Amino acid sequence: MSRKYAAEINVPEEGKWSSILALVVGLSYGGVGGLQLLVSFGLAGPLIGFTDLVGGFLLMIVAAVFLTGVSPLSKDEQEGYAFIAVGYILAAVLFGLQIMVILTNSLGRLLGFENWQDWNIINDITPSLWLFIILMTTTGFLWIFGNLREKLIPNMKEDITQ
Amino acid sequence: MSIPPELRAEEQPEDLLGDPQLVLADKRYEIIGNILGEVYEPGQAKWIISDMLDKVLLHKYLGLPIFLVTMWAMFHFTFQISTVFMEIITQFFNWLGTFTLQIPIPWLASLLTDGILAGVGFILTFVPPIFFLYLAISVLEDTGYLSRAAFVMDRLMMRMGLHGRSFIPLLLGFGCSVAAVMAARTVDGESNRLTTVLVSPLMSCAGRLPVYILIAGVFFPSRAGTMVFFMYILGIVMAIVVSLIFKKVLFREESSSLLMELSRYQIPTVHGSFRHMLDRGLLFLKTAGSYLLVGSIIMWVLSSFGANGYGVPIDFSFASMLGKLIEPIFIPLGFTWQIVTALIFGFIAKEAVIQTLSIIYAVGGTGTLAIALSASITPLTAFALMVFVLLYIPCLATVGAIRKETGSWRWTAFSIVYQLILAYIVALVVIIIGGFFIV
Repeated sequence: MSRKYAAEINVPEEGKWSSILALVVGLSYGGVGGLQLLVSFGLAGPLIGFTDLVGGFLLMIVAAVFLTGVSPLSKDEQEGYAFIAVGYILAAVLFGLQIMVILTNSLGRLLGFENWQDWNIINDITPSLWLFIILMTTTGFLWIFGNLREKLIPNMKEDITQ
Repeated sequence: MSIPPELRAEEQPEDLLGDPQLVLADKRYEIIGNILGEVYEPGQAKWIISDMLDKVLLHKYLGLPIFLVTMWAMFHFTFQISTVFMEIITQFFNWLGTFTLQIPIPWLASLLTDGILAGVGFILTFVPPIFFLYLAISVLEDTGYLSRAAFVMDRLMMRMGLHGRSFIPLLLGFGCSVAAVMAARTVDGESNRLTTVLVSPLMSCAGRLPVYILIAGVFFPSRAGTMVFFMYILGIVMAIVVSLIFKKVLFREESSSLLMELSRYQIPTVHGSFRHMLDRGLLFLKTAGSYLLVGSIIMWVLSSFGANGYGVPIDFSFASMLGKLIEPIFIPLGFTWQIVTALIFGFIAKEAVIQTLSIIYAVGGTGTLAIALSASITPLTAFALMVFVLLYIPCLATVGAIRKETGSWRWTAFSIVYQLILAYIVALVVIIIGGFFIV
């Protein structure tokens, strides 16, 4: 039997929308990770930033974490939120790491070191970077939308009862 | 100072009749309880979040992949972020070298430039990755994830009939093998403990990191971080495989369950993490400043002197004689006499492998170590060298720790011999299998 945590940690009782979010994010990471694996194995045409084989596997693992959370959330089991949380943490770690790589490479270029003469920022813009930006933008949008909905729905209900 | 009435322990005359020590202890805990009652909030939500995160991080199927992502992130961070800082230190020592080269006394100029700067100076360029590795380990420790990693691996190790607690010393081995060997005391059962002591040196310690970084950077530049990560994983895999063999062949003892307290997840503090990094990193600097400095002078003497005195060509130096004596054994692996000499000095400390190579090539006047290495060995041999360095004899300090922990010269000698044989066989397998793919 699943435990109820909503009151203690401030997560929604209903998990329907969260499960849809986990599904969409999981499929996105899985799809891009799969494409990265295909490009790395030479089974798909070259794409900038998609060349790292390990990077592809990492995205697949992030996808697996999100997708495992879909089932419990769709049954309103709040433990499913942990999968979303860990998925976000892993995605954030990969994003943060790539940002640091770009910053240090920029420093190398700025200092004019020989090994950084051919460095180009485009090659460091990997899927783990832009996927996380899309993920956070979408999450931010959903959060704003959710908050507005919570504020508007009680007013609408009051209007209907009057 | 008067004690507030709510914090005072209630005085009961009958308590005074018992054992004074027990009465004191009871009163002490009563006061502590009262104080805690005033200031402590149980933080139920934090425990709930910890429990929820454990559902995922200790998940039957996801636990291990998440652990691998964490490990990869740690080594990617260690390698990729530090390259630019390593280059800054390299440039600094190159700049210093322009001054030492101008010293009018040739032998002193050579000692300072080719001996100390090429040796200790070169090793110091690896300070950034070592500090970053310690920072990453500290962050993982402080979050509470590292103990979970032991728990995740326990499932795999128990399936192989090994003791789960053995993984904790092995994890400590990422920092230093001496710490790993000494931490084996916590393992239950004599044979489990001995197995852990014997396999702990197979984990990649910080001393091996310079070797990996240099070789991966020279021969596999686009996959350097992944190669370093792979070496650490190979260390874990080899430790598990060797443990399994020891348990089947040498020792027969039932494994017991792993019981450990998992603390709540915490957000690590910047101060705490950097403090841990500094404490451990300074030990490395101390090593570089003491016996690696002495080692670099000895190596310079061996490389600069030969049977005909100072200034002989490097191929006629004492270092060359030493390397060439054992070189035939390593011909199947493709190791040159320079590498063999470096491996001999690696017994003192693993960092000395790179230091020795740097001095030999500097005295020989073959340009930078990276250029000299890429001209003398193939990428496959370079990979075999990384594997050999991972698995061959532990450093002198670790051998001392093994002797102390096992209390036996026999087991200490066994540890040295089995690791040498294991390293040779695995490196040879790499050469043979790799040869099929490359040719």
